[in-house]
Amino acid sequence: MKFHAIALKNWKNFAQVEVSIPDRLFLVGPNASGKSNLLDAFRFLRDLASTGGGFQEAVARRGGVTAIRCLAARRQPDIEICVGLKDDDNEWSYEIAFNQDSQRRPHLKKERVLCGGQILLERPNEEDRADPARLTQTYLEQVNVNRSFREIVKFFDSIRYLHIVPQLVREPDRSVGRINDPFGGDFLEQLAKTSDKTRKARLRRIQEALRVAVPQLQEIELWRDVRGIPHLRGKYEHWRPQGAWQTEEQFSDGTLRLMGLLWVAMEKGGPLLLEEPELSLHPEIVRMLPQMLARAVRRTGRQIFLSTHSPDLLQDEGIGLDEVLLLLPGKEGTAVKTAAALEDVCHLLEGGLSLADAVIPKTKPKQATQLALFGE
Amino acid sequence: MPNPVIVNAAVEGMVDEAVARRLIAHVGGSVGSVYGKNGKADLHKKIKGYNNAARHAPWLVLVDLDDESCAFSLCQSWLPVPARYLCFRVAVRQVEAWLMADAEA
Repeated sequence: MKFHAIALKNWKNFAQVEVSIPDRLFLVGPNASGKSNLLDAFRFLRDLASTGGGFQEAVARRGGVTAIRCLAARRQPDIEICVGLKDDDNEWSYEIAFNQDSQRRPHLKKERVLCGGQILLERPNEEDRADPARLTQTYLEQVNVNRSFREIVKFFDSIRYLHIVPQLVREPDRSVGRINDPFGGDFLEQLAKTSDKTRKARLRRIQEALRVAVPQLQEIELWRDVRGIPHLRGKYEHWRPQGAWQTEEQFSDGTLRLMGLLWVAMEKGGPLLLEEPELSLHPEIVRMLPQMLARAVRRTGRQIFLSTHSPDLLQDEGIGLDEVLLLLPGKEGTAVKTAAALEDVCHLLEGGLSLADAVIPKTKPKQATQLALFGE
Repeated sequence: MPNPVIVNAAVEGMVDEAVARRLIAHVGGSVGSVYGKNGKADLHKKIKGYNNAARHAPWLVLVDLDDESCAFSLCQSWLPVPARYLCFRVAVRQVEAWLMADAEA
């Protein structure tokens, strides 16, 4: 199953937005334009469907309905997310709209599931009207009522967000108990949970890939210390014939982030959301990321949506115009446009400019030069 | 009041950007995006792209003459056939010279 469209209403930066979604998506825009918030709409769906999640929890994690609602919205309109999905046989859609009651508790205004044009679920239904408390939960989180669209539940649950913070990988104590921690707190734990054979095969491939970026690194393996805590350790080449083993605590930020990226690129699963994968990496490596991810998409069939500020990443000639979404903030919320919809970008590309050269200037904050005068 | 014409610009650097913004504002235009800002060589490389875009929308390209002998010959060698909406201007010798010559400012 894959996403093929998303529409948002009053969701964070976006008053109203509708975009179609290809297999890869590159989100570009100035700081605070809503790149992460667009990704967050997918994470919200994931939170709805995942164990330990659910509607109330998903809203609470984001600070309540008022924190989610777009600042540009007048009065108190409903927040809406609508996604179009496609699998081999059918087109699906899932729609949810919610608001809060007089005690600021989130409650559903609409929940709808369509499959092949047929309505499988339409809420509020009779039972909801009889017992309004039912509207505090979605059917996604109820196993006994979501049988006919459980595929969607599984699909939402398979969405994975990754934004590895090297400091957290090194000091997992900071995020004790988190499962599927997007910031890498349980990255080593997950590595350790993978079956021996798969893990070795993946680490071998990562090692081969890393040879380009970090040539001194000869070998990597998972190693448990005396307390049984898993560590990644690598053998670095130096003048001594044996080299020296170092654990993740000594790895560089770039090495750790690249390892994380390569690891998830090999995982099978649902859509992968990446937050600025270029961080800590050398521009020449960043330039290769789109190709690397394209290969991963072909092999694992998963969709990849990423946000970026990097001209190097957009330098890749394989990136299609429909794969780039520009986020343009305005007084009425952020507008989202594909690069293909912007005529001047198309003309610049025809004239031989790269996508990065044509797109990045559009995302520049207007007064950026003023920052140089900071502290005057 | 009619909407101001949006003019995109391509320049060599930050100072040139400020000048280009002022020039566009002076003639009543509104600045779209400012491209380039990676030096003269980069601008030279991409001038065809900007020229192509200027077939459909107004563009201002501002470049320093520097050591070359003549602004006209620079225009000729860079872009023999400028597009309809392209305003290709050469600062003699540099944009900075314009600023220094502006006694009132």
